Amino acid sequence: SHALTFKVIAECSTTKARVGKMTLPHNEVNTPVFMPVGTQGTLKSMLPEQLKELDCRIMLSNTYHLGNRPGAELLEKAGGLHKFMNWDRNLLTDSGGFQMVSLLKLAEITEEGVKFESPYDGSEMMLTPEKSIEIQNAIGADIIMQLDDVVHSTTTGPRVEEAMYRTIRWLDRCLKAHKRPHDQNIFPIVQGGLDAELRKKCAQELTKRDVAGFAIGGLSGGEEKCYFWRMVDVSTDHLPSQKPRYLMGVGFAEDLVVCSALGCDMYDCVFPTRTARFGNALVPTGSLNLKHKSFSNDYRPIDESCECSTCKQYTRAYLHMVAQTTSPVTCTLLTVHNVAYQLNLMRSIQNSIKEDKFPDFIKRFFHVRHPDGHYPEWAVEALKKVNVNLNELSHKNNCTDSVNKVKS
Amino acid sequence: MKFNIQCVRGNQARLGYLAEVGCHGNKTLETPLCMLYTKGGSAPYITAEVLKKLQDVPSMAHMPLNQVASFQETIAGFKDGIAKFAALDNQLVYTSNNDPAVEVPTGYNTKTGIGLWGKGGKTQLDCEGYIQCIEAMIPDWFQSMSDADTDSTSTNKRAGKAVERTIKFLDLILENLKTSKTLEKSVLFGSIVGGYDMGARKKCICETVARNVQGFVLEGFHRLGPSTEDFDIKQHSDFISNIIKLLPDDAPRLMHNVWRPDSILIAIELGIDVFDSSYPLYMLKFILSLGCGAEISMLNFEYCDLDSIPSDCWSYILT
Ligand SMILES: [Zn+2]
Ligand SMILES: [Zn+2]
Repeated sequence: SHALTFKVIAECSTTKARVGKMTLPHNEVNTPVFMPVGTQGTLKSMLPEQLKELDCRIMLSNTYHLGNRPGAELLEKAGGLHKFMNWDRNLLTDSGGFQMVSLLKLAEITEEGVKFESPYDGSEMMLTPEKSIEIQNAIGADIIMQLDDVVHSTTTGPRVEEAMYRTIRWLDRCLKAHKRPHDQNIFPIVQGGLDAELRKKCAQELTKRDVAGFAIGGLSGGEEKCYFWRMVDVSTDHLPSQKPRYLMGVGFAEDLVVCSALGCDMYDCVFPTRTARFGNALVPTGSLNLKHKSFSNDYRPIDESCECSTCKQYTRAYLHMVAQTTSPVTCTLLTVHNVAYQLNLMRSIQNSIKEDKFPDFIKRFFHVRHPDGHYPEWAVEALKKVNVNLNELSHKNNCTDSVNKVKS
Repeated sequence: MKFNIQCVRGNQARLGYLAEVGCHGNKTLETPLCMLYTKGGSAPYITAEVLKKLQDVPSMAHMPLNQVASFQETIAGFKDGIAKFAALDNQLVYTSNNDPAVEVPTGYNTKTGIGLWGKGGKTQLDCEGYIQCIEAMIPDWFQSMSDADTDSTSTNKRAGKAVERTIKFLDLILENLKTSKTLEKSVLFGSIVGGYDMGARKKCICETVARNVQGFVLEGFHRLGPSTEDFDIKQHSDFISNIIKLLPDDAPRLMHNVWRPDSILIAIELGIDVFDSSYPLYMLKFILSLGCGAEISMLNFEYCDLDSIPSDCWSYILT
């Protein structure tokens, strides 16, 4: 048995979307769910208390950053990250591998693990699957990730296959090293680049292991969207339906809607919080850059229908002013709203699935964002695959042609 | 506004309270008083929502005019004043001309107006423009426009000019105020300038006291900004004490940039009643600047004793 139970409580009769209840040691989470990312144990500029007020029930923290500072030892001494950051709800940590490969120039992957040069003293260090789990055991998140062999999402050739098989071998090492199966769940990661066959093979292999849920990795790294959705689609097709599926690093509103239709249950992304730092507020039509002069006399809230504390108390004109004066409160105010936007979006998705009106929801959602009817081609295709016709008169499907060309 | 002094101890240290202040008739403020420092109308990093969760937040928010002068139209268009605009309707608001935390460039004040420096550059304000700005903000207290562009290197001639200009500004502002319905309830603080020239200071006080002001701001000792952390109030305590002796007892006295706790104690002893709180932000920036590279570390956790930090504070520290 695992420290996670997942119950599908509603399914869309048209698409692969579903609503689930995921019970974890620190409380229940309704899926599809968006998990805000708190890099160093805290979501920049928001208090745990504020996240609770938005009914956020699970957030993500980065093992790489936590491992550096404050360090696993201190976290263990503090009684784990939950206590350290004063957050009594669920946490998920990544393996640390992705950040090493992307942040450290000299990272090199061997069968043993990820070799890297310490950013502090230049000494050679190694993150092995065992070490990653040891650190994540000390941090104590409810869901922890296996160390995977990360290749850039546009890599092709034998390296992708090597990484896929190594990821499976590393999963077995992670499961063996895991010391807290009673209150922490390891998620394996489906790899396989942009190759549908490898993805399928990987999902099938991972499914043979006794795990509580699965992640889909190696996507959202700049690959073309027409490959992206196909890889998501093939991965969910070959993962068991009674377990949660976590699509890593995805968080644009359109991606959340489409990928939920493709059967994904969990998401994380730094985008909503990062874009807040640049003065952008997420709204149903897309986003507003509050630094723009047009907001200097706009005394409406960011979003009339939003219930967040920023929308209830501040106008666009005020946010424009503080963004221009670079007051450090701007980031906080927009972060609160953007996180609220993401969580509201997920709740709307859940509700429409429960009422079995998800296809209508999708159409309305896309229409509000693209009133001119110029829908992104990849979204039209992806949704067609799950029986939702966004636009009867959609534009010609160049995307399909190029995919077929690559395959042949 | 009513200012009641409950007792005077030591030399001049006063314990008192302010009542019927500005638009907040029901509020009383105890002095010595520390104001809540803001940037663009909000406490740095702290939203109105979070402010409500904090204890002992000062009731008087301090909003320097220079930060928002270039947004006058935006604030005026809101119509209900900066307190509500910044979601701090429960706070009283004091506007100073300049931000204590930022050094003021010298040489931009003229006979007819002052130069205010914000993020978007300089805004030149004459008395009319100044009143328009204040009418947009609708503060409970506001500092009269002044030429405080003096420090220990200024000549007596420059100090005298500062006084002359400041009194002229005061007259024009009082004239404008007579017809302002918006500022009916706002309390005007006269600015006491004149550098380190006692003659100039005396003249400034005489002229200001003779006019209709309800409090005093002592300035013109330095050009504000981080370097004033080293402003040695002890060294100038005789001079400041002599200034204060000339002020009426029954009006509050405010002094900016008295930051370090030991300096505050000296200033209270000298008879200052109101202080700004830009020091914590300045200290935070200082601590952050000690960190290296993009990733900022405020504490070295190896030496960190977890038991000594209340758990609620950890996440603030990490932010
Ligand atoms: Zn909002
Ligand atoms: Zn504290």
